[in-house]
Amino acid sequence: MPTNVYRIQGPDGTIPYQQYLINKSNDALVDIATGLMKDVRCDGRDISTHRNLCIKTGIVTQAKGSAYLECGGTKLICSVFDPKEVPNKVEYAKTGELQCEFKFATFSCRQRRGYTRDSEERQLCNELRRALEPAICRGEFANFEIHINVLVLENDGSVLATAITAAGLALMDGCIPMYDVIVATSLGIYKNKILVDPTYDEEILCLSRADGEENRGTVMLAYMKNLQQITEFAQNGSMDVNMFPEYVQTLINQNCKLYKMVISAARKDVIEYFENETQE
Amino acid sequence: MSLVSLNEAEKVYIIHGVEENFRCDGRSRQDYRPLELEMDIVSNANGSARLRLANSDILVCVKVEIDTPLPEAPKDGKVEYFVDCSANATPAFEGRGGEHLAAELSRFLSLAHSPVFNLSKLCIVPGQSCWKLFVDVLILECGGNLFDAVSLAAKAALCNTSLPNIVGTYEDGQNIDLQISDDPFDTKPLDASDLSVLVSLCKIGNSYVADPTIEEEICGAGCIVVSVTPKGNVTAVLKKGAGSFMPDTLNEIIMSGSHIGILLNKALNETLTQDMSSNVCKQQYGFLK
Repeated sequence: MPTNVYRIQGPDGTIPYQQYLINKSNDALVDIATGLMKDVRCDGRDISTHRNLCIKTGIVTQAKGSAYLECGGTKLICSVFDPKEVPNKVEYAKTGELQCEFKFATFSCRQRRGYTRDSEERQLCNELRRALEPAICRGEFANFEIHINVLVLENDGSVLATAITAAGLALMDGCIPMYDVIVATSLGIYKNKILVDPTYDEEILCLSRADGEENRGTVMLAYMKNLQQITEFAQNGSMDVNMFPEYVQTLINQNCKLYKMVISAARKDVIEYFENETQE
Repeated sequence: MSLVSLNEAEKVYIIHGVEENFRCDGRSRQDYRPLELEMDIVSNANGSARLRLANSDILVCVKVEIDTPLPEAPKDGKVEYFVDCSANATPAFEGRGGEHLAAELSRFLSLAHSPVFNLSKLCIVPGQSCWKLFVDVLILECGGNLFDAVSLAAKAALCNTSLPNIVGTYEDGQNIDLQISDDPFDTKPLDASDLSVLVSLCKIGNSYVADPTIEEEICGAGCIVVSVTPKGNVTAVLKKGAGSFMPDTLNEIIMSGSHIGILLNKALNETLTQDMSSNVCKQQYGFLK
């Protein structure tokens, strides 16, 4: 395990105290499960309601485009930098490249995360890149690369979907040419219940191993509404293949709702920009 | 990934062939290339398998060791997947070249197996000791469709794995002393028949093909990898490549991926049972075939 010598490391061999609370957290999961059977979610939401969003663009002044997105308890910052030439590259690339970085802040999850990237962060980074690649007009900046950084400040579930929506907003804010606005939503599947935008606890419940033949897991879908294209689809857990059309349809409907919110936020930004310009 | 470059005419030829349901090597769109599987070829490993899918050559070895279980799962054992892309496979893997692919493969393999792998079978003494499986995947030659080949080889190797029998446990206060049978043939097999295999479907033109070759992977707009259990349930889905999909196409691809996965699992199980029954006078070929 590589360590960063410039940072002060925590003492070796400490154990997060949450591990001693396993019985309690198991009880909490059972509570969530019994609640779900009565269509009641732990935060009082309806089973097919997305959490409230807080969208703010242009918050990182150094970056070309940036966005801060809050989806319930999940909070993250995404920043996009100008296209720049790829260093030490010999071959000419016809399409531009995306360099993504996905990082959980060390304090963002229940258990403290390390400074170095772990395999989950690498996987989320790959998924973020694959979700954005089809949406960006990469032919516009041949042989160049764009850096997209996502920093998760607080993780309360559906973190990848939130990150993709935030990256779409940041790219829009940075005036990077795109084919369409990109939004993403995730679903938690528990038995026959479809939970839109699951929280961290609900995700843990959905990803716990099922004993019998029941559907459990999470599904995430990134969508371009006007082009009707799915740019990324990720699924975990075990589920019946015949249920997929229903999940995909639910996700697309949710994404269409999300699209309206993202567009209205973008429209407000444009109006604000022109108002400021006329005042000057 | 590999040093294959195609010109426009060659690409058009492949794409038109796929449209006509007649691929360059004579297969139809849903067909696999011939698979060769050989079990138990590494004597120092607890389970091993070598799989050859046309030109893709994968060697998987499973080693078992004793470890303490995680505090959050005291009754579960542990499994870890390591993928190593040997520079022999393709010059692109030289140095750190294959690292990215290797990390993606091992992560996806563990995600695909985790919902169906019953780790409680690996428990020895709850909260004290458990078996830890190290699944080491070595890619010796790369001929396209690595995800499928790696998952088939990994499942075969895990089915081939046997755990040493525990003769007795002695409790001495906090410490537990395990006595393990010293007879190398006194083992019990690990039941891994419920594990999933991966099926890659590459979208080329308006249709999609199973088991794409390297050339077809280059022509394809995108690839969906579906992890399918023997019962046809889907445990993980991954998208490869820079393309995007229409909702109907995606549903169709996942459906047919599940269908192919059931057949693939069945074929693998049949081969494994055949291998078990003819255990006495088996001819070993190893790497010399």
